[in-house]
This record gives sequence, structure tokens and C-alpha cells, in this order.
Amino acid sequence: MKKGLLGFILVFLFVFPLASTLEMRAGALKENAFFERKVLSLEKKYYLDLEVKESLKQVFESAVGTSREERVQDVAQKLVSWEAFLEKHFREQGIFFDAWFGSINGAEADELARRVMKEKKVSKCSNCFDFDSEAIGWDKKIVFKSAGFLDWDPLQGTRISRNGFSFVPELADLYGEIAFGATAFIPEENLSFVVLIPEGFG
Amino acid sequence: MKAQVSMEALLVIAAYAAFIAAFASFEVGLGKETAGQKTVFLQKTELNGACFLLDEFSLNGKHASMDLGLNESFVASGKKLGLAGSNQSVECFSNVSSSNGLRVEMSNFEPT
Repeated sequence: MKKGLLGFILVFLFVFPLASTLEMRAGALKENAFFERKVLSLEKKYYLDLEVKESLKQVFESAVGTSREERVQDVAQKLVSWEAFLEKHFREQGIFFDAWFGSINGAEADELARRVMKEKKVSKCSNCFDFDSEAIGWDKKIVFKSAGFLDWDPLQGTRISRNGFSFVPELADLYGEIAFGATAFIPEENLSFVVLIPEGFG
Repeated sequence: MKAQVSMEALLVIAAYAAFIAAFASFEVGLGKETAGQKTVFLQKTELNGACFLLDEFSLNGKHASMDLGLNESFVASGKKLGLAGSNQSVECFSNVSSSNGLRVEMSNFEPT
């Protein structure tokens, strides 16, 4: 009788804390897994950012031509394929991606990332263009607009620079910071971001 | 003799019932206490997880926006992060704010 009573007391004494501890453990594991996954999605962003910059650097280094203008035009032409390749490459990984160039600063990039998250689709900044955008050059020939954001010299090679405005008259009115960039949205991670590659990159 | 045994049994049963009644009230108190501790623990776990994510964001989250899809709303000021409607809070490494969604001050380690 005494043993039975003692057993009853012990079981009842531990049943609540034990059930609660098990519930706490399950809840904590779930919370930790959730935040670890979110942190890992930022690693994806890091590597995507790196991939975009590395591939752009390779395009810049592949410039061929005998003059500054020829090299800049060559890079501008290759950037059309570069954009198409990246967009297809990331789409295959379930990432919505749009590469662009134009006038944008850090605050606008933050705002763009928030807008993409809200709309759940990629878009570009208001003063930005796709790499296949064309414009009329000073010699009245059709040129790629991105040539207006590039420069080349023997010491530094190809780089993002407003010196290129000299190739495209319509860009003369453009003001503010210029950059190459991309907008990305990873739906399965609910993560949107802007890869910003500022003037001077090359 | 038979009547005496029954009386003893009755006394034992009565004592047993009284004990269970007293023990039940103790158990209810214990149940409430453990439930409270569980809530505090889970809130702390969530806050620590959020802080971990925000600290990572300050390093790798430049020009990024993330929808956590959580029902809870966070309250943040300085390095302190808490949950709305709770007095639990934790200290993050980064400066955080909760105006217009959770925001974190970017570290200078990440280049543009």
C-alpha cells in the first residue's frame, strides 16, 4: 500500500515537468532549425553576389580591341550575353534574377529590395536599364547604352566609370551615383536583395 | 472484528482522498509554473534565434530584405531585442530597431 502510494506521488510529481520539458525541447529544436535555415539563406546571397561580381570581372578582362572605344563597345556587347546567361542560370536554380545598370545609390538599393519582397517579383530601379538597351552615339551610330558606364585604360583595364558618358550623349543629363547591379528574389527563402557593383569596379 | 476492519479501511480511504485533494492543488500549481517556464524558455529561444539571424544580417545582409513569416512582433532598441507583450529580452551584438519592420545596422566588414 505504502509503495503504491509513493509510486503514485512520484509519477504525479514528475509527469507535468516531464511533459513540459519534452514540449520545450521540441519547440526549441523547431525554433533553432527555422533560424539556422534563414541564416543559411544569407549564405546563398553571399555566393550569388560573389558569382555575379566574379563573372562580370571576367567579362571586363575579356575586352578586345585596338582603342579605348573598341574595347568598351566589345565589353558592352558581351554584357548582353552575360545578362541573359545569368538570368537563365539563376532561373534554373529557382531564383528570380534581373541584371541592370544605371543610376542608383545604397538607400535606393535598400528600398528596391523591400519593394521586390513586397511584390514578390524582381524589378529594377527607375533610372536603370537592361544591358541590351541601345542609344545613339555621338557619331549617330547605334551603341549599347551600357558603354556609357564603362571606361578602359591600359593601366586599370575595363572598369565602371562615368567617363563612358562621352560615348552616349543622352547620358550627359544623368546625375547621382552610377552602378551595375542585379535584383534577386529567392521565393523558397522569402529573401530579396540587390547586388550593387559601384563605380570603380573592374 | 469485521466492523473494525471496515472502519480502518474507511479511515485509510478518507486519508487517501484527503491526500489526493491536497496533492491535486499542488499539481495544479506545479502545472502552471512549468507552463510559465516553458513559455519563457521558448520566447528566449526565439529571441536568441532572431538575434543570431540579425547579427548574421549585419554582416551578409546588405541591401537585402527577408520575410520571416512570424506571427510575433519584435520590439527592438539599441542592442536590445524583445517580444511585444512580453518582458523577455536579449542583447544582440548589432544595433537593431523595430520601426517599419526589424532593421539592423550594417557592419562595415561587408564591402558594397
